[in-house]
Amino acid sequence: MKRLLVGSCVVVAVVALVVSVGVSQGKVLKIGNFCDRLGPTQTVGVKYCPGFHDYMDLINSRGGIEGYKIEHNEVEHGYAVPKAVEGYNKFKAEGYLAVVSYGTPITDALKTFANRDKISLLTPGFGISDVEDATKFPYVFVGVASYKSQVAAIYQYIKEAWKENRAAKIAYLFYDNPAGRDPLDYVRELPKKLGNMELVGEVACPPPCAEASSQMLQIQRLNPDFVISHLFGKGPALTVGERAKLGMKATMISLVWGFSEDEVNVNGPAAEGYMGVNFVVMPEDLAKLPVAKDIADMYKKGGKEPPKEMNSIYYVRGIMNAALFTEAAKHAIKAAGGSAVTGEHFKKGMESIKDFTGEGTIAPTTITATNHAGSRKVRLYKVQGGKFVLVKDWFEGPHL
Amino acid sequence: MEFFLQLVLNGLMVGALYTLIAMGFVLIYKASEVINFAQGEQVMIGGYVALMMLSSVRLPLPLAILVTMGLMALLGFVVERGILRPLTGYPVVSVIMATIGLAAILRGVAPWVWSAEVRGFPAIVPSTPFRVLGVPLAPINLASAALALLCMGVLGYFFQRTRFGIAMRAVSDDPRAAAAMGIDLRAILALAWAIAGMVSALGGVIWGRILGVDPYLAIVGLKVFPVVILGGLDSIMGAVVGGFLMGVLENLAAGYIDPLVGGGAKDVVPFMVLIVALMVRPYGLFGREIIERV
Repeated sequence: MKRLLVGSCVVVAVVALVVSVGVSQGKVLKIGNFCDRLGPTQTVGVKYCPGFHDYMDLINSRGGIEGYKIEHNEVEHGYAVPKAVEGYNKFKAEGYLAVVSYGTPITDALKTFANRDKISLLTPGFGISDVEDATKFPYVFVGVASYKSQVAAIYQYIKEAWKENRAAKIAYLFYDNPAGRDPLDYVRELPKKLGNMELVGEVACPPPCAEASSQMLQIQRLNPDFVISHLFGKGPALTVGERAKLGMKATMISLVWGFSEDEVNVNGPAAEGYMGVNFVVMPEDLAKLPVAKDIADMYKKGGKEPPKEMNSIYYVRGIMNAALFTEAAKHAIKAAGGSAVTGEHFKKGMESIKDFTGEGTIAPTTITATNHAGSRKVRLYKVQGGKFVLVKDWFEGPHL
Repeated sequence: MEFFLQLVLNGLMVGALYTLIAMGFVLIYKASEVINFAQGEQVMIGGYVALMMLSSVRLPLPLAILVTMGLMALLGFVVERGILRPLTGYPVVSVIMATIGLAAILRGVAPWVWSAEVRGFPAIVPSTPFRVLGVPLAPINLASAALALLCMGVLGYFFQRTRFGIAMRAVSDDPRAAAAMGIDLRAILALAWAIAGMVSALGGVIWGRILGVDPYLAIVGLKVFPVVILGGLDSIMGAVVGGFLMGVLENLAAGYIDPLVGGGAKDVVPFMVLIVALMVRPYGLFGREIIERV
């Protein structure tokens, strides 16, 4: 009898252990992040990636999502497609449900893998326009303004700002890679659609665009009224400096990866008047949001000072990406209805995001089963007195 | 015509920047026949150190540049003593691999020590451009051109007139004969690395002012590689002429060919010219022609 009792206890203990392990494993959602801290866009990565992890840590410190903890990890790819594919396969092998992509060439390479493997791929500001078609790429999500939406918004602003009778002359300066070429149809066709504006030329800067004085001379020769700039890495700061050196009068308006505190830090007063669109709020705005205080408190509880990266626009984008995924995770857990969350559930979670503002960092975003583009809205800023001044609050441009 | 003039002048200005770094390559090659693949990274470290001297130590600019040159000379000396000297007698490829390894280490150490964010250099010269024959010229580019020419003059004097310079040339010509004549080969090699370090410091200041200082500043090293090949690996004059020539070629290609082909000619044409030049003069425009009987 005693032996039976002991045996039963052991069996019960083992079962309880197995169940508890099973439950604890089931109570973890794995979400990955790609990063470039060593490659040509490291100036972005070193600020953007901490934002992602800090927000995930904050969610975990709040108790997770519906009892689930987020296991978040990072793969360094140095903006190189082969390393990114290798990292993606690692994520896949380890059972990750969702990954934030980083870099248009990388998104291009991973988009079909994501569909095959049912892993949600988030590509805010890293995508190519064809992934917006939810029927072709059901597991790829843009979420915030794509390059085309950004270009459309810039044209919309030019149309409103240009008061002269003659057509506004516009030049397009771009990083000569899939990202820079992605919005070319919008760049070429929208002036015809909107009227009173004309595209006078396109000037490419091949990666890594570490010397662009001759490109800026070409721009000057075109004598535009506006330059739409779509560069990455060191290119934006470099061209802002060249613009000042040449004494160019044209208004230069950048897409999201060319407009950050780096351009101001490097060029000082020469950056005055530089403009850019953004799909998240600026760090000054972030500092006023409860999420910034929560992250700062989390650091202080751990005996550390809040990271200086919080003062960067890229950090805000890291938070935004993580927030979109945690919102999706919340819906995915509901969709799973108590069973283990799968890739299909996570996709449903992404497609259930409605009027989500990412803790105040983005314009209200809705993603559905047929619309993976999310919000097309951006804010327009200008460098004035060494600071970012809001020129136009959330707005969007026309479709082609 | 004005556009042509603008492209040529701009090319000369950019070429002056290339020249500053190319001299570092040549100095090392002249003394040891080793191509230093860490030259760009040394420029980057030079930029960081100068920035630190200005912003943290708060030295005035001329003093900050001098201290940076001193510290970079020390770094060059340490590299020679710590990495290259133990490799004496090994195949040249080992030494080349060591410089590639050094480049990776410096690229990794810089963000660790100074963080990877881009930092702006304070204005060294006024930023307002002025016009020459209707062409806007930036004072920073003129300053770098002047600095490059000054460096060329100083190094020219050093090699022609000073004891160490003549000894360095002797080592470059024939290390065994030079050693037999009592020249300390190791001291000469250390001196070459130290001078190359000083030139890197100047490159770091000028390029750092233009591009901002971050680990990716090292990429300028790659841009300069074809310059030294074209000019001749062992010629200071070649580094200068090659730099100016490559700058002008790049700019003319960008100005006249890029619009026809949609971009990219700027990066391709100089290499095409480089290949043709090397087919005619394999030792570069000003390199020493070594005739060997085989």
